[in-house]
Amino acid sequence: MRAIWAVYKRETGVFFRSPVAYAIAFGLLLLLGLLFNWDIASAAMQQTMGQGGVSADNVISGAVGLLTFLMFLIAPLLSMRLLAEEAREGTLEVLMTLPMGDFAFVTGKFLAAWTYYTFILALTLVYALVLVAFGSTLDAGLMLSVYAGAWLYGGAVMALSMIWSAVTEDQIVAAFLGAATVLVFYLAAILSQLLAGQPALAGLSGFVRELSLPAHYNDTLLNGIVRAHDVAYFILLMVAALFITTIIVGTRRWRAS
Amino acid sequence: MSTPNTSPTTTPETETSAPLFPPGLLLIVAGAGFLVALLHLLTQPTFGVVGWGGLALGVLTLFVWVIMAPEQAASILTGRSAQYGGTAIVVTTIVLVALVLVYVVIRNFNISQDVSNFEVFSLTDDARSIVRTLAADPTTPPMQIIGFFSAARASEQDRISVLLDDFATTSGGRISYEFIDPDRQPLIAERYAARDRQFIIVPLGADGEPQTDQAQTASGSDQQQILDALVRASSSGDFRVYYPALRDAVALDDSGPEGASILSTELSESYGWTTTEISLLDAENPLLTPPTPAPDGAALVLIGGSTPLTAEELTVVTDYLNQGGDLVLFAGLNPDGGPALATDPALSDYLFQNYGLRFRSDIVLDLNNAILQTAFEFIAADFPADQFITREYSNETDSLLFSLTRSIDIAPEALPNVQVTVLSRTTPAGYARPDSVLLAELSPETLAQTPEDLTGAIPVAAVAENTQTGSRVVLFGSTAIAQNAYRQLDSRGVRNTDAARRALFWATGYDAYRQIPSLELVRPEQVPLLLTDTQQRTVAVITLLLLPFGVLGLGLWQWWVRRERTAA
Repeated sequence: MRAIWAVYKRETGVFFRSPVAYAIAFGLLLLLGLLFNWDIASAAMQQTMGQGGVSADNVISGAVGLLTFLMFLIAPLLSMRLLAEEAREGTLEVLMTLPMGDFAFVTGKFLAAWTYYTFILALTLVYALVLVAFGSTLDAGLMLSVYAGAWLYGGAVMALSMIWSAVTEDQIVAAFLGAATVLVFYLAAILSQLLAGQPALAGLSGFVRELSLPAHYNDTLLNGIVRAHDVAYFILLMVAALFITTIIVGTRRWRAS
Repeated sequence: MSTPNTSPTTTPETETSAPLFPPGLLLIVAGAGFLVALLHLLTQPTFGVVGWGGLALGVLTLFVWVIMAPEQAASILTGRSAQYGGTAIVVTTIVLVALVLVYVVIRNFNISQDVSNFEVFSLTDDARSIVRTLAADPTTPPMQIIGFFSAARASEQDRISVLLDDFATTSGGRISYEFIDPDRQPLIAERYAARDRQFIIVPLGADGEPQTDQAQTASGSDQQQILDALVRASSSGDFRVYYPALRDAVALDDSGPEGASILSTELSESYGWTTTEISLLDAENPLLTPPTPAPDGAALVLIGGSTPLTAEELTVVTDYLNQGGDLVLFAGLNPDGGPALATDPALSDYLFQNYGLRFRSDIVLDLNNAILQTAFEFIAADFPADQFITREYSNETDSLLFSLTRSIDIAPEALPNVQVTVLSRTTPAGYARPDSVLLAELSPETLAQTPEDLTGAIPVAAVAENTQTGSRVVLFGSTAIAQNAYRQLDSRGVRNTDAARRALFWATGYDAYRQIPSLELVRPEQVPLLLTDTQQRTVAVITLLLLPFGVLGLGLWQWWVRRERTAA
């Protein structure tokens, strides 16, 4: 644990001192802000036209839902540097001479990236606070489900992206492959729909759907439905990805020695 | 210095313990077993015997391999080669399979909860109460909800299963559910004539087999619609409404605004009742010749009618009531003047002498509660809280809308064995003019109150029960209570159709038979977001300027600090 904490502390410091990380957060918040204001304007217009309007819960859910979709870009950008940079600069081998296991090293780095993502996610709570300040009521249960789900979702895709940072020394390649991997998991929901059209492949369709990210977040947690296996999916995805990353890091070190 | 293991030092024991076949063969068998299980999982609708068999074979042979070649198993799971060598792939695969198994186990526990307040995927309090009532009713058979969802609708199925879990849990297991893919099991879909995204509710027999002929189709996937179908499917009683074809009477099969088809449809589709048009003078009519077996409850319904019953017809009706029959009477008008069916002196006298109430030949006005810019239409409340028909109504938010209404005359002294309850009255400002004013040219003067008029809180709906014969009578001063045109005002708290339905429930004893609460579910509404222009501008400043550019500023500050440090 001490080793994880040491790596975590160092990496978290790097994140919060990195202008690039802030630039990523800026871009993301600007995009989410645009959507958020667009939704509010649409809600007002619908009210004016007597079409019922949109609730504050829907506006917040929409913003957080977009954030999770955009994680296919954000997660690789945040995680690409974690291991690829160490390998490129040759510090990975040096770090590995320290008295700590591969898993502690990888986990510490992952937790730091997840912490930075949590910081960005927490900033979006400003949207909810602003609406509440202006008299809107929010469904506490729904918001908890939406945010806790987005937090787990972010951790899972961050861990997935991190695998590629361990595989390659090139950060751009790592980011590209990470984005592709997350997209595959995201688009698996669509593939599942396509497969469902063939009754003979319905089992495969169900299997692919179980792998997809939206089936465990957009379809349930984003609607206030908390299922144990959705939570387990994200946690196990993180564990699996971190395990693979650990194996890859260990293999690199072994080959280098 | 290590000694190469080449010398012939094998003992007889080691020779006898040599395996009959190479342990590696077991790995191939295990792999084949897992492959069969995987293929079965991917291609079959359910993980059946073949799948479980393959999985068991895989696990078993893997276990035997570990027993037979423990040193091989240990070397795969430990050591440098496991962590960094080619076997890392095997180890990773094992770990991934283990994680998948953990996931499958958790998934099979099927633990889920709708944590939102909007009760879209969980039962509302009202729905929960109805489900509990149904489950506690010994006449309710166990029931199964079958959801027909193709694989393409898996997302929707996932969400709705949370609601169906709630049905199952709340009913204590009396209601179960399953999903059927109509594309993969078309025969079952055909049996129920079910389409994709449709729910069928089917009672289960004593042997647990679905009673397909009693299956009911839900008109949608909302809990209200599923609940309606559940109530229908659970209705084992035989309840009937008889309505005679009379001149200018409102027909239960008339779907126009003046008709009462909505009442009739709700009774038949939501509660499984039978509505039958009869001829009072037909010797075979069920009032004279009760059907065999006798229904659990039946009522004669007279809605409107411009002319009095003939003496023979009246005899049929009074004989029926004398034998404990039940009557629900909605008063109508005679456009030609003179007594209408409800105000016919012969019928009125019979009702007054036997039940202590009757209609008067007048028209009630209540200018305090008049609506729709006509003096003849008004709303009334003053509902008794202890009468089944009105006990769920609030005097503040609910009302009955009356149009061209007769007042009800209540006997000043209670008759023996008869209990009369007024259901609704006008405000104290109400008054009743003789119905002859309808024949004159209508003007404010003709409708104005005169000293001769009956005034005060005038009864416009009432019930009476003869506790000796069990006969029940319900009188409504207006046909509007049963007519389709007023159903659309339900959302404004006008409870006409509901009151007509509950009047039939009370008259036939259905309320005691089934203990069915109101099916009108109240669900928390989502409040639309509405910000003023100023508030919208403030939100934009905070979320488009302060927040993102604040973060950008932090980044720039960090960059500046680092730059200075690097320079130093």
